[in-house]
Amino acid sequence: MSETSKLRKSRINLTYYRTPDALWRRRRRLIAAALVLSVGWFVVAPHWGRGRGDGVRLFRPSSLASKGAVARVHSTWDANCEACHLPFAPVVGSRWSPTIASDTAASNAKCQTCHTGPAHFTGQDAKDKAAGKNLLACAECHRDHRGSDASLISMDETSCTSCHRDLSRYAGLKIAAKSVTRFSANENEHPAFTPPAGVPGPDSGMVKFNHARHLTAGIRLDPKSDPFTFADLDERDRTRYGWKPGRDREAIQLRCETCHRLDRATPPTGTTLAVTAPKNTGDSMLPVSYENDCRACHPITFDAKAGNRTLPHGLKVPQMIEQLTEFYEAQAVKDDPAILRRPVPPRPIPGRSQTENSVRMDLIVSDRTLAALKRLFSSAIDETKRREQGIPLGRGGCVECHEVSLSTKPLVDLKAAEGLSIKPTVVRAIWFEGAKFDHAAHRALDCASCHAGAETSKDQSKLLLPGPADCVSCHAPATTDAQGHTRGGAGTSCVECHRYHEADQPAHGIGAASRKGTAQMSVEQFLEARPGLPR
Amino acid sequence: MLIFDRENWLNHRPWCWGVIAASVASTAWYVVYGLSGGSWSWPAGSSPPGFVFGAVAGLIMAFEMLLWPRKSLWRGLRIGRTKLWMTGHIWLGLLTVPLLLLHGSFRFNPSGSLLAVVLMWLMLLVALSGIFGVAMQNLIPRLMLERLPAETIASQISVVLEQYREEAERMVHATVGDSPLVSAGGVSGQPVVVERVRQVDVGRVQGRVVEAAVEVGYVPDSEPLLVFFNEMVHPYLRARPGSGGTLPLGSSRRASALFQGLAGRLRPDARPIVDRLADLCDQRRQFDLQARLHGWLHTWLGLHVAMSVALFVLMIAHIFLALKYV
Repeated sequence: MSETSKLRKSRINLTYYRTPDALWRRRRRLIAAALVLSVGWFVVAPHWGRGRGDGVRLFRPSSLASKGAVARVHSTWDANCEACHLPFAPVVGSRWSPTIASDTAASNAKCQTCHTGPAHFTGQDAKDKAAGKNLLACAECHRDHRGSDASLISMDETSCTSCHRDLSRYAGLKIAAKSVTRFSANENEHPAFTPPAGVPGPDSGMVKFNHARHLTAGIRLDPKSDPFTFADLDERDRTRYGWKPGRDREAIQLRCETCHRLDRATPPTGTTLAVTAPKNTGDSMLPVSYENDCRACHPITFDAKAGNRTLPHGLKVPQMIEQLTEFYEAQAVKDDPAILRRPVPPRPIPGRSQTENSVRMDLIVSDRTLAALKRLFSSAIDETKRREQGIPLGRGGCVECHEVSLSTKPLVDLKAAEGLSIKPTVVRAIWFEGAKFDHAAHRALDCASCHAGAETSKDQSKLLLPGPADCVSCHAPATTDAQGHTRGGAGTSCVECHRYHEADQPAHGIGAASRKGTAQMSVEQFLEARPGLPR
Repeated sequence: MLIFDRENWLNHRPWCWGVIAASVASTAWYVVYGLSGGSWSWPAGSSPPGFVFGAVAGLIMAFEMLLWPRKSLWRGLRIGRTKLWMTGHIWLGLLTVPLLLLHGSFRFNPSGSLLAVVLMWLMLLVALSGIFGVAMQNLIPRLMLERLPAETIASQISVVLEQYREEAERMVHATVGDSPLVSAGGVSGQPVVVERVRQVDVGRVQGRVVEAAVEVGYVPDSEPLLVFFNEMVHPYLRARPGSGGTLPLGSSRRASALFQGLAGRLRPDARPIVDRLADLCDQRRQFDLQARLHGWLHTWLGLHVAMSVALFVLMIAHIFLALKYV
């Protein structure tokens, strides 16, 4: 037994729907709560961090907009978006969002308030402007909001290859390769290492050097010749080359590191290392210099009768003549002191010639000076003649190491000698200006592992620089062969080796003047990131 | 309510294939873009595919929210059929899930942007609650049709129950007569008509009709009926809807036994009253089941709408901030 549908209907008040039921009331309360919470969060959070409650992450202003914590160096402005962002102007030009308002130049200017430097590469901005494209944004490579410990200069290779796989639009600029897809020994993927401009192939350093001979024990010119020993060195230089007491007659054995030293090396007393940046991190090699690396074995002696008397290195020929003349004049005075007692007229008397003695002394001095110059510039002094003339082994004057330009006139007097010159040398501090290489990090390897042929090379014109094939032994994706030998595994990211912004100034460190920001701020202005604030 | 069955599937099929095709195409673009640098890197929300997915999903969500005014404010305007709106709401809503997962690079870890992560979780919860709702709306009405012949309007259950209680009281008092057990003010001695109802199914027409009507008046020795009513039936009919399950009459098997026992202690004349009381209690049990099923059928909607509102508001905040500090 049950009730009819009609009766059941009659039990319902027909206006029941006008009164919200419990379900409907509950739903409205939930919606209201959702509205209040969501709008409240959006309204409260931007004002929450000002001096209170920053520990509650939900209410940190940055939790609304930031996609991650900024790098530690920028953490002061973690809650101040407009320290780095211009409203509605994307910091990265490749992003699609508001493309109409896209102006990376303005965003870059924000970065440059504190950080300036040359463009990513020279001429790029002009090309982009001419093409009507956005300038490359700083944030395109220096990506922030990746956590407080993330590096702003470290990025994966796709960050670079996304552009560098096709650089055809930059045709005409100084670009090593129009397409780079990854680091490898394959030139279609990564170009061979390019020496600096002006070094198309052979070493144009203009310094003669035989690696094989210098790395031979005793530095013999031939197997029969006498070895070069510690006794042949000045006492002050012996320790530098490995001398120990009682080993005076022992042949000197040079090694790569005898001359090629890291920039962290302790400099020999009285010499300078101020060629590279004063950072001494040990990642760069000091350029080989005469004073540091050659002088001990190759002093610039000019006269056997003058004993150990030497000329300073680096003089031009007129300066040499001047110094040699002074030396020989002093010697002449020493030989005939009476010359100083002869009266010298205050000025040449017209119609009167100089005294015979005076003329004779001038001739002697100029003859000796000329002879010394001829010795320094003679390329025909072989070993036999050296021995006959008492010139020590390996001390063959300028031409032993330098290329010289001879005078067009016969060397009959000092006037003609002024036409002699030494071709300028180019000893590079940095060979690959756009790259960085930490020699200290690779110190476990012997030099010849990368600089193949360095120990046997006799031709100074041959560059002994490594190439990608030397690097990929380690810097490639890790593989293990059938014998279980591992190859590769070290990083292959572009930033491992490449430098940016300062490619034309490879020795510039982070403190270089060119990196100074566009604004100098007070502490208050700095913390607010607003250089325009009143001080 | 949108039914998914074999008959309706033809209407849903184009939508379903459209959503699958759009999801596959979006994923393909996303993967190709992610690999375009030579090795895999997650495209950001501001990358070309990420931005497009976010923008499309945002527009869809705006459309999804329009269902609300369509069903309330603009009901009279009849802008498109509600069924079409509902179909679009469900299928396009499903499409936002892959689009927003790709837009957000599958990031659910709150170490990044808390707002973006909250949006991702809200999006998932809204989608899941919607899927749950569709499932409930397809299952529960069928269940109710089968198991709840006494179904009434859910919000009126307590009103109907109060009427049942009054009716039961009137019948019992009429049967018991002037018993000292009848409380002061109780109606007694008045005869009541008890109808026997039969279910009629003719073709597609269903209904209940009165088969017989019996007038029941005073029945001697009916005090056990009054005691049973006061101890069992009255508390059961007064209990809050949905909470009568713990009482003895909440179980149909036990109720049947109790009513049989009661009928055995009364004269045969009182039998229609006992049957009617058993029927009222049976309807009460159906109301309990209806209240539970109604809860399952409609409670999700409150959560779904509330989370959708929060999602929409925060999405607008996200769009504003993303464009401002891109």
